[in-house]
Amino acid sequence: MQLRSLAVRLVLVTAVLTTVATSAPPEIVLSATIDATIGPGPTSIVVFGNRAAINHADTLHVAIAPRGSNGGLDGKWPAPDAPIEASEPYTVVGYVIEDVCVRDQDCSTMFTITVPSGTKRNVSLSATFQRASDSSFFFPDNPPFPSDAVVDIRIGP
Amino acid sequence: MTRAGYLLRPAVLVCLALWIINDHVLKAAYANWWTGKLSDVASLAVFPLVPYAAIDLWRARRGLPPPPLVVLVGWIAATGFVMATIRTIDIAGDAYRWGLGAAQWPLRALRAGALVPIRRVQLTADPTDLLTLPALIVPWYVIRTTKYVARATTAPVVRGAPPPGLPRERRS
Repeated sequence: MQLRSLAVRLVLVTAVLTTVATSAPPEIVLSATIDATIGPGPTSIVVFGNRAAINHADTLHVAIAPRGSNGGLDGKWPAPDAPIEASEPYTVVGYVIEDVCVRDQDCSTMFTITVPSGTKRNVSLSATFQRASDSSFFFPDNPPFPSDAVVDIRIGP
Repeated sequence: MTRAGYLLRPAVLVCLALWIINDHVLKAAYANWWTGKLSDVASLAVFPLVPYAAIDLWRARRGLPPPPLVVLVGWIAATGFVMATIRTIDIAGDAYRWGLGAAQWPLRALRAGALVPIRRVQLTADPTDLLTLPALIVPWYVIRTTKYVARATTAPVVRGAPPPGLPRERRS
């Protein structure tokens, strides 16, 4: 009975620590946001991260959000030659850095989006580099981005 | 019967193990829609039992019976409410990010040996996570099928001799 009682407490402590400490690791992100007008037709969006910002275990999320009454974009995100983690109906697409950037180099990657109705749209564009979760058992904690890390997003050529 | 012994039920242990393995192994190896949902299912199945068991053990130290089922129902409802709002309402999601970040802060400060800043935690606001809410039936099932809890919370314990004409209660 004593052993069973100890086991109960062990499970309880493990559950508490799992809930508090490991279920959601700290958010370590580096992001850039711009307001832009896209369309009519295909618009290229270029995301840049310098070498200091790139860690191959990280992920890159590119988000588009309508701005003002001229928003309401509902088109697809054509992806670069990389697996897509999330696509329609969400306006955020995620990529594993390793799939869109070359190791130990500055990284510039281009996305194209088409406004379906052929008109212009006012949108907010953001690119976010997110550190991968540390899988340390009880204390997930990743080092922040270095101070010289740079991320940028712009309408491309 | 060990108080809070329901934490050792196979359903609870399997869900807790799944939660840990998924967060520390599967998400890193195969991050996808399924691993995201698996964490939600496992956490919903386990979490309401944590405060309930803590209260149960606290009451046991004072010689009190297990907490009434309404306490568990409250924790199940609160868990479902938090799960639903943080996935669908921005301000609730931010409150969760900062709240859990604050809860993690003592552990992170202890580990770093310094006053590190409070950091938001990661949370993906995906409304399809609400599909996992039926997993909240697990803690209810676990407690309802734990005989000593069900008995203690549905029939009040009467101390002393039974009224005349009634058989004496057999104590286990």
